[in-house]
Amino acid sequence: MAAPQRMVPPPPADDEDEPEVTRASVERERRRKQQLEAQAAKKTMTRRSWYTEASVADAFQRAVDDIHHSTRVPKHEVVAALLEAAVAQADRVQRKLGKGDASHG
Amino acid sequence: MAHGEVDVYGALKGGVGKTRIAVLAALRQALVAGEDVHLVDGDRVSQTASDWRKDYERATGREFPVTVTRHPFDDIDELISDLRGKHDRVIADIGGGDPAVFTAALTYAQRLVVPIGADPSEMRRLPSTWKAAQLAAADSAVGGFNAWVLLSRTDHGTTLPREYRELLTSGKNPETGDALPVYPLLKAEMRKRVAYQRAYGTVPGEFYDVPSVLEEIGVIKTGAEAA
Repeated sequence: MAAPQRMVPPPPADDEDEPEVTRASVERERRRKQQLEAQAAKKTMTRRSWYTEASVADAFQRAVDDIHHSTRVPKHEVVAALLEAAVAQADRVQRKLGKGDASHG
Repeated sequence: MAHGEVDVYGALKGGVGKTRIAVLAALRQALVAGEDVHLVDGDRVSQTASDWRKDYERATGREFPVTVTRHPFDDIDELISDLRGKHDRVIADIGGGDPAVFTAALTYAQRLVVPIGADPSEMRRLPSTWKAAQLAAADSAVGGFNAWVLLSRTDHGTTLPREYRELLTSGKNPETGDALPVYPLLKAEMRKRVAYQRAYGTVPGEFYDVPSVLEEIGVIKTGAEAA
């Protein structure tokens, strides 16, 4: 049976001149920067909701799940890529929907 | 109520088998040991533990035997603090290169298991994971934790598992003679098995290597219950 490594908090004021303190502070600073970057990235994100047919929403969800599982790309990126693809088709969709009677204008 | 135990399966690298051992350990403790287990999915990138539950419930229409909460955020320690007051065991699946979530998850941990594959690319992140764990121990609210390394997805059709076991425990590089850190490597391994791949999205009836791991880290008390 492998003995574990016991990781414990250091005794108070016992690490003042240890080189680990310097490394730890560098690591803390790196983590702080990473957190700030993550927070900055979050600011560009948004949550929206749309009212639509359940079958279409389910199909969209399945597409997101399938791509996520096969690529391991985070789901928010998969959703963004699918929405970008949809936006690229907006003109075609507009022409298709415009064949009926216009409800606006 | 006494606080439940907190076990963290984590590494600062994705794809090392954290979720597999975390979910199977949670299921094993819930189904075999009869514990009330709460699994926290703290993987910011892949959320596989959460998807495992969803896919099981979607496919079977039945409730997953373990509650799963997705929370890959820096305040995961607050969630775990709350959950350990309500459940026998909290298991956290943490990973994917996020030191802030990793260290926060260890605040109330009794155990840390770092799964690692026996190949150079996976070994490269072990020192940084270990260092992050040591930093986390400094902020432990429960006086620290026991930590182990677990060889994951080992293929004994090759010599790699034996070579890396030597590399992790001998204290020196066999080729260069350079000194290396000695890691507390579990004797138990998570072997590469098709059964594990098929286990995703299911509640398997067999847990293969998982009981050996749980026994070695003291979750299963020796002789108290059989797997």
